[in-house]
Amino acid sequence: MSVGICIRQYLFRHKAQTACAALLITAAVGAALVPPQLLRVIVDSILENGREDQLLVFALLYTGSYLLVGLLGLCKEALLVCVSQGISKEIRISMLRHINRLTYQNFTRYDSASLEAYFNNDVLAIDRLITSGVVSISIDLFKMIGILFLIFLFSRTFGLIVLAFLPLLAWLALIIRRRMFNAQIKARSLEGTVNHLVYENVENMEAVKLYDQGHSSRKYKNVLEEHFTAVQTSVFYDAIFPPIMEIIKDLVIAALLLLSGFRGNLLGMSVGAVVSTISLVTDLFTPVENLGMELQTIQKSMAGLARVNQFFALAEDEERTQHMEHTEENLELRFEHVFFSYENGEEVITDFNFSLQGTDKVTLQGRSGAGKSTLMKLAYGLLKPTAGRVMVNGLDTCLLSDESRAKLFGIVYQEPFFSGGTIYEELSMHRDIAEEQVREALALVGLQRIGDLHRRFSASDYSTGELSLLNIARVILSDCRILFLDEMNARIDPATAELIMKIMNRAAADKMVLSINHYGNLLEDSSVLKLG
Amino acid sequence: MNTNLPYDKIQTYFKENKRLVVVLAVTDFLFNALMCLIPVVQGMAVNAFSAGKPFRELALLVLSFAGLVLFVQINRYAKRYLGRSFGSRIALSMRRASYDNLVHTEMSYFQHISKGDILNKILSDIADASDGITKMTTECFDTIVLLAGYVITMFFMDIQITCIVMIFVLLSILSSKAFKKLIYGYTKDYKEYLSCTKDLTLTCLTNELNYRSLGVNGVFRAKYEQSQDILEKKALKSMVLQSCLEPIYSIVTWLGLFFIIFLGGRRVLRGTLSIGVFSAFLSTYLLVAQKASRIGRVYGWYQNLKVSWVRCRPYLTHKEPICSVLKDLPSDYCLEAEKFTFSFADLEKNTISTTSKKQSEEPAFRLPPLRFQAKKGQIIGVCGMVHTGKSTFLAALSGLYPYQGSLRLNGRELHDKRPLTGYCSAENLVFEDTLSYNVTMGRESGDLRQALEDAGFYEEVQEFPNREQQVLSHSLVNLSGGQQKRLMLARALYGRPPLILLDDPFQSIDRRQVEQIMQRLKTYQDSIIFAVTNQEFLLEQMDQVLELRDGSYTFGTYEEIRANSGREVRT
Repeated sequence: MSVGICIRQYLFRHKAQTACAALLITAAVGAALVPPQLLRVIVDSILENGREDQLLVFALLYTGSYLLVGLLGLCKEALLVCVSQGISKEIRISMLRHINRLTYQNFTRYDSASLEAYFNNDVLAIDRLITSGVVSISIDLFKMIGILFLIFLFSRTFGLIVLAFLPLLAWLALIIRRRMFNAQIKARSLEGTVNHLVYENVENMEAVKLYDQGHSSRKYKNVLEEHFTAVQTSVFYDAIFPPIMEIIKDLVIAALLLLSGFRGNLLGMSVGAVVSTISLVTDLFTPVENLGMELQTIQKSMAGLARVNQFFALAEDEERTQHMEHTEENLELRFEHVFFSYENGEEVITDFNFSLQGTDKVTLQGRSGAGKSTLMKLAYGLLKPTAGRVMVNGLDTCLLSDESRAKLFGIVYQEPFFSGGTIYEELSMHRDIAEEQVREALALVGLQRIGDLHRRFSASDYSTGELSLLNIARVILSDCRILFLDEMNARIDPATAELIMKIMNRAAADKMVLSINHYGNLLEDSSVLKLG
Repeated sequence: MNTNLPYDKIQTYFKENKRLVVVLAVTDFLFNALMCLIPVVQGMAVNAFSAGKPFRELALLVLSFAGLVLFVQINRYAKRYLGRSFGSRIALSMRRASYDNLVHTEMSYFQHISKGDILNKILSDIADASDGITKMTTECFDTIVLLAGYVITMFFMDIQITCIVMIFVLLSILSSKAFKKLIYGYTKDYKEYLSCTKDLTLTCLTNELNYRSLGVNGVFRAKYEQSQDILEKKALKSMVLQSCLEPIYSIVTWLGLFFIIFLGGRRVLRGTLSIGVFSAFLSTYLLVAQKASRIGRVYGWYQNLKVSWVRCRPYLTHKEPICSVLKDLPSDYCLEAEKFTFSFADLEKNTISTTSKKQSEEPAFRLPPLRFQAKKGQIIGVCGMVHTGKSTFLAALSGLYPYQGSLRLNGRELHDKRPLTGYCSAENLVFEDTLSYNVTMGRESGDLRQALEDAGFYEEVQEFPNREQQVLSHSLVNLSGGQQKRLMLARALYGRPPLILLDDPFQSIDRRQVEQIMQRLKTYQDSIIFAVTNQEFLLEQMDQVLELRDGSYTFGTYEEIRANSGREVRT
């Protein structure tokens, strides 16, 4: 997957929309050329020749052409927003699909906040790249070509003069923009320092208040001064750019008038042609000025695009497609000559052989680092063994399909997790479960005080123990066949831990159970497997 | 720069930059007033050309056109530069003022307000507010004065047509007001949903491995896709409307073009209007149309300014330092406490803010009223079980918070004047700066090497690539937990301040080193040291021990304490 493929896929699936957008862009550019032509006709053939009878028609045509320009522009803008939003959506969804398949190692390497930055800032940058970068630069180029063409129609000599000037002008615009951009970057990085200092001093306010004798504030003010100077530089370029462009534009107009008036019209243009060439020159300058800005936008946004492509290049797991029939009577979880080592080469599991059947219950114990958690993750298929196989009824757990997992596995993690939904959604995990059943499960874990199931769940309303209980209620509702319990009472007070044991004894009676338990009580009928 | 100006009033910034503002106003006015003349002069030149006037006359007109353009654009440059410069000056003053304000704000304030909120207000709101003030000053001219100028020139050219076309300009301005509310609603809706999907993305990413193991990540991806669909719809509503607004306003004003061509054209044919004036009128009107479509923006900027100014204003008030340093201590001194007590809960009531964090459910913890005496050169051990107030006691002594009861140095109450204090709290506060700065914090009197040696840190520092000049990172990747603790210790010991408070300074340090540090501390004959520890071999060496219990305390020598409590303090 890459950003390019996402965009192509989107455009391919929305052919009509794409064609319309392209058509509208061309039409909008073309339409903008009509009014000056009409103005020339009005001045030359009507006003100069006194054809009052045609004045009404042409006045209507002229106004109509402006309205057309406006309407086409409006539709173009709207459609562009549609396309760019559609593409952003497409990219985000492909990104989440990629997340669903990323290897486990990637999650140990990147935290969720930095992954989230890809979804947000970088996709926004791509959006900008398309709309205010690529699309507007092509529109502006088209506009310039169209206007030049018209000027050539009026006077070839003047057309050549403008054509010779244009690269010079674009170069000037680019240079000023680049200087401005560099100054802005410097100012922004100093602003970063300013922000960082404030952040640091607020964070460490205690130390500042105790020891500081004005030094930190001097340091802060020095950076502020530096920032101010850098801003002033960028202000200079920012301030000088439009006046310079305007002066050049008006000088071109002045030259046009002088050349036309000199010794019987050097350019050979009629009054109407001169009047509309003046407005054409005015129109020509806007896209030239924009060019620099657009090139910058493209430059800046390319970084976002590159980052998203990097994200798409992160390694994926094999697709999980093996399906297990829910009806199979006898369950067997089997470890066969399992080896496992993490990326750094440290071997955690060496030739591990083990098997659980039916409603066997086993508790893993051992010092930290002995591989309890790793075994657990291998068992429910989050990790793939380096060598050997972990299987449920002959199917590799790491390749089990989502549906099979959902039906087979119930997991209570060490850290309870929630998804920002209502209490009903948190417990049912968006499965079709009757409200009554949810209430029963809540009553079972002693949380019947929760009355409104459809209120948004907020973790701060519950104690650590209650959060664990909610996660247990979720597993009870899932009607799974194999239960994995990962140190679920590590951080809970003894009374709650005892309650949890009582609940689990009842809920786990007809299930296979693999658990990790450092201290505290064991489940009934559970055998212990010491590791390490 | 005078830091005592009332920076919480907008006029202060204008007064502070008086000269700049005056020049800004003059150039801005000149630019806007003369800008309207450019189409007129341009029209005169076109006239001269179409009437076939002699070249000299035309050249004169064209030259005056060019001269006028040059003058106007120089003014434009000046006002642009000054306007932006004014903005960055305002931002500079605001940032300075807000920093002073922060440093002089009671410590308790930081306990109850989220740091993110403070940063938001003094960083982005100040940027927005300074930007807003400049924009309002310059845009006032640029849009409103210029628009008025254009309209006036149009009146001079042709009253009747101007009256007619002005209707469309007014219509456009009115429609911009009408749309504003509609758009505001849709944009708000979109922004809110955007932050919802941001949370959803984060949830999906955080829980991915959990979902994957349970086989439900497909379910959540479907949810995500659903939310993306909704987001797309909301974005379209808000963005399409927004991107269509200015074209719509323009279309409304462009309707007036018909009257200019038709009525103006008839006048040209009848000879009551020259072609030059006709073309000047046309181009002026197109400029008016452009400006009028932007009037909505000015209103938007005003709203933004109001919001951000209200948010950052409290941070711009001038504050005096709360507490000053007690210098020239007598050669012999003694610290006495009487009914000395403190609770963090007291601070909550004093905080001005309404956005304080939610009240904790637990009853507020309070130190029992203490009475003790500590002499210069003594080391006092503070011990007790978890949650008996050891750290709270040191915080109360630190001078960062207002205490209750009495705390006197040689009979002088320490509310507003206090001796220099070294306080090594439980938190490790590290600045992204050199190690040397992290110890000295800019204090002039003190011996860096001595402080590092006393904290048992000197030898390790010598192994850093840049020794004392090593830059420490904020995220502390280059310092271990024990090193951080000793850095904090060195900071508290630097300059041998008269009062030194050490909150469990011997954490994650091995016993041999702890013994060494203890021997060093005994050489601090000019300081009173309070050290929290539960290690018996250290408490034995202390001059006095304060043992805190739940709601009571004992103060005395180690032997007295042990005899009194009759049980060993657990490590």
